[in-house]
Amino acid sequence: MNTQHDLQPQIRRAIDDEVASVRLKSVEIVPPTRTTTVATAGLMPGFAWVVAVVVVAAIVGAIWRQDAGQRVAGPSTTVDSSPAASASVGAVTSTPTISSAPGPSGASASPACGAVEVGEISVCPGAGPVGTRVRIEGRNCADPGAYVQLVLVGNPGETDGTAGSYSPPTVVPDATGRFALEFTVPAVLDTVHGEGGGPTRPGTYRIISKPLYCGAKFSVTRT
Amino acid sequence: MVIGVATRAAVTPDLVERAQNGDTVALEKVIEGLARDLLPLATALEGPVGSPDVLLGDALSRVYERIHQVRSSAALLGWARKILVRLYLDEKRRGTRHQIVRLETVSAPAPAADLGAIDLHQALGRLPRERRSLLVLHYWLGLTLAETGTTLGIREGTVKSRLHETLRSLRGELRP
Repeated sequence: MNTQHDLQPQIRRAIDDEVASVRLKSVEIVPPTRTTTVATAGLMPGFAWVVAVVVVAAIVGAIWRQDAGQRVAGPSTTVDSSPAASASVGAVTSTPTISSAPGPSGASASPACGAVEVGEISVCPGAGPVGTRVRIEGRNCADPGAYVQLVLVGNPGETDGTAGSYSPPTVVPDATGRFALEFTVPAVLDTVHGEGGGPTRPGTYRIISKPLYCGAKFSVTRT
Repeated sequence: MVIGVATRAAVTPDLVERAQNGDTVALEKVIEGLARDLLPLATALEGPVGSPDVLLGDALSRVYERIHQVRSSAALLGWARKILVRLYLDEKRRGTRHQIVRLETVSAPAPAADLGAIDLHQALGRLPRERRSLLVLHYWLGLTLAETGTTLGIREGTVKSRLHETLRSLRGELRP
């Protein structure tokens, strides 16, 4: 490691190692008027490509169907009809509950839960007013050995509610990557990307992990 | 909105032209293709303790917004790469968005077999962003000195002298 010439290949190898140690599945794009999620599989080898394409295609199909349904029914019909949503409304509590016990396997797509956009996650109920107790369960929403960092976010230019964010505490997943967490929809949101913040207005939000391995929709309703 | 995975489909000149003419489906395909192409670079720049997803997302958002500015499909990747590297070097951006989306914990780099390699990882992690960009673009990505200079917005001679200086300082750190 004493000359310039033998240092260069070592630099290449070191950076190669670092690139290989990060497995990124998706990124979030915030164009001027909306948010787009592009799932990527650039670092996955071989058959993982095929699996990823099939899984994400299924997710995309489900979301398209749900979106189409919402467009037909109108936004007012997408909220409050779920018994689970109304049953979960309670007193606002200040501390989220974090469970170390893993949740049920995989993400659910029950009508009472939010539409899953990326990864294995369930957000139940998928709609409710400020004060609603929301349970999130998921798997593989963080890098191996890392905490799960979740954010409730209304992106500027995308949400019809408040542009803002709320971060529940981080969660330690179990050995299989599963985790469960409960939090209360806050009355006030922090800023997002330095913008917005303020009282949580009714509208469509997302609950996503950082990095964006998992994500699902959540609607804040009036009552 | 989820628009799908990055596929191996090529970003063709026709696709770029349609995207520039307002075809949003074509634009999303271009973005997907670029996501796949730029992901390794974003990861190499940010390193294992950074936020490559945020950097890539920011860069692709700019591409989405400014696709009409690219001169030709042949220039697309270089143009997008330049956006990504400039964002990586942007102090203001780091001061805002990263506060919100920072990673709480990130796994350590792949373990190296020898202490020298571990030292090198640490030394690379301590480099200022501009110096790390030089190494990533020239030694890792394989860009020429001229291309590296164009991407970073500095002259070829400056690239050469700063690379020399960076290597010298790395050697100094690694010397027992």
